[in-house]
Amino acid sequence: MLDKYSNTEVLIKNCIKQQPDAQKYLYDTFGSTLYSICLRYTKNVPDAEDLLQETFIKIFQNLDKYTFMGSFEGWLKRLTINLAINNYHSTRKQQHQEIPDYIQEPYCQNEILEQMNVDQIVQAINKLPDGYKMVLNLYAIDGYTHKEIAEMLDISEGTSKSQLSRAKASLLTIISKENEELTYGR
Amino acid sequence: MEDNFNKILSDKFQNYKPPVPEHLWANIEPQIQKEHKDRGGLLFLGLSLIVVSLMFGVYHSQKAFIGNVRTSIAHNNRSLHQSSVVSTSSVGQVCLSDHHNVIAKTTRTGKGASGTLEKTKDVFSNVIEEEDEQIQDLNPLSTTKYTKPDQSIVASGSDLNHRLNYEGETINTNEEGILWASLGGNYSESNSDTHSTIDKYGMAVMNKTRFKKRDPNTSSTLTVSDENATLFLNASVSLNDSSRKESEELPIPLPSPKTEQRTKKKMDPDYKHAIQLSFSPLKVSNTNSGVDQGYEIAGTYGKNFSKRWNWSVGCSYISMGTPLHYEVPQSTVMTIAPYDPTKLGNGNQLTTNDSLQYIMKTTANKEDLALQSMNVIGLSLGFGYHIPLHKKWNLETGLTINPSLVIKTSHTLTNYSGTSAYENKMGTKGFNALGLSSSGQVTIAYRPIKKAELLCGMRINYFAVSLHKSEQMRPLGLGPVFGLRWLF
Repeated sequence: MLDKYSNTEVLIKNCIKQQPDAQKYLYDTFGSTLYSICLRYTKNVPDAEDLLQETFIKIFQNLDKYTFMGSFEGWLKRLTINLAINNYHSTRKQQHQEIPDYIQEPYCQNEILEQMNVDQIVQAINKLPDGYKMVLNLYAIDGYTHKEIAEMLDISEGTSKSQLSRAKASLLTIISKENEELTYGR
Repeated sequence: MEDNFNKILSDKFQNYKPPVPEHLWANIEPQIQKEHKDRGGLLFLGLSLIVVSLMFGVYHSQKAFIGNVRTSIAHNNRSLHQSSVVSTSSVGQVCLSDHHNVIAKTTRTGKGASGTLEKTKDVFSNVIEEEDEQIQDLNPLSTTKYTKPDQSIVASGSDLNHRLNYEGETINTNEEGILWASLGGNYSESNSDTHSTIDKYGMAVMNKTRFKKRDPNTSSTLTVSDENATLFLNASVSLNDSSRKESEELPIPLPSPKTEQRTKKKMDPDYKHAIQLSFSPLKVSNTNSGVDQGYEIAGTYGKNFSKRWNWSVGCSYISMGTPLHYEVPQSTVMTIAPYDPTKLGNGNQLTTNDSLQYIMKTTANKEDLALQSMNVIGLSLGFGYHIPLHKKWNLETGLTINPSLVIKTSHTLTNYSGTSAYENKMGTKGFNALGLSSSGQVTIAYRPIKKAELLCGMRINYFAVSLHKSEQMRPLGLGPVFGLRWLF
């Protein structure tokens, strides 16, 4: 089966034909990459699983719209991020946005960030308010510009920049505190 | 520092590939299979419409509708003092009179008869050679009932939040509620209560199983019959029994019940209820030449019962006019007027309750035309299916059954200049005017604002089965439909 679906075009066409083995292969191949995005854009593992499930349903619904222009993985990632943003918009109105009390001048350097493993960073990102987290993910990790972020999140460019700045400060503060707790014990 | 920060983060996540939750696939696969089936839904509905139309067509070829008098009359002579040939291909009853004196009458219940009317002065006789056709009351609506096998899972105990993934594992409960189960692989289910065995094959399916409280000693076993298959039961249970104990720690992590609830919520359309007003200009054809013109106004309430399907109930009002045509030279036009016993004096032979009995008579003005109009109210019961085309556009199709009641018919004589010469409003006689029609429509819905949609499409009506001896129903109508729908 690996050889059969090493060609992405064949894989996509078989998925469109509703062939279960192709669908499962696509899930196994790209699930991990997309799950990592879901974990970054949601608050916890159950929410990430929800988003991943929703993403794959959308993917299979819209595979016939993929035009084979550009990277397929990139298309999948964009679809995942778009769904995450939609979820953010739908939940934003319902949730009271907590103002973190830990925003202060970061007293840790990037070296600490470098020393941490990804799971710890994900946990730290998940402690950020939703708005900060979205901007941080989109700009720092997924490489969108402030202009694109402003359009996607329906905010101004200035807001995007200020939220990014605050997000970084908050993230470094959280990481510093956790690092301190680990170093000196609780 | 900022660039460094971004670079560290992006580098860290570049190769970050957490293990993908395998159990999610069991949730995803049934959903995408269901989507596939939903696409088949439209095809099914389209085919159903075609089949229903064809069946009604066959039905109609066997039984024309009494009262749709579209009589073609050919004269051998201008005067009725000599033999006249009358041919008709519709079902009905035609009487000829000369200056209000009945001279001949055709009595037909079949279709396609022709014959000669002989002048009989005051003697009423009918010498038409009839082709008596036996009207077969074909019922094109046959239903096939499918009985689903009993899939009840009955067990005892409280170990509901449990996942089965190895052979021979048993789940027990003595409680009542709804059990959602994701079942994958080949398995068989045996129920010691009924001793029935249900075999299921295939890939993962989603089952919603309702089970009732039974004897605690009753138990059920789900068994994996294929060692390579994975059978697991995600039991997200809503119980009526408040004494249910919380489940113990799960041996295998399950997708949270929240996951399924959210998925269900997301699959639902963004509105549940709708009130719709529609207007449809209709052209209604009959088996003979001629097209009726009219309109239909309908109001319906609809509710979604799944992501794509909805049902609706409402009422409609139809108004149609039927110009009557005669294949005779204008100079010899005879008019047709509704039978009115009060104007015929002692026409005992014509005293009948048939509201669509016509008198043909010559008049002083030989240029009169007749117009028959009809007003119908009806209930509508239907269901629909829609496919989202775009963010604001939907393609919709629907099938509706309409029990209807003719509330008023009237016949108006006008001359060629359009001046009304004679009008006779006729009431209906209760259940005689009951009918049943079906309609199908395909529309495009556009949602300019969040709570409203505009509709535009085509509608086909089939005025089909009379519940009794309905004389007013027309066979087939076609026309555009325009509507406005409020969503809430």
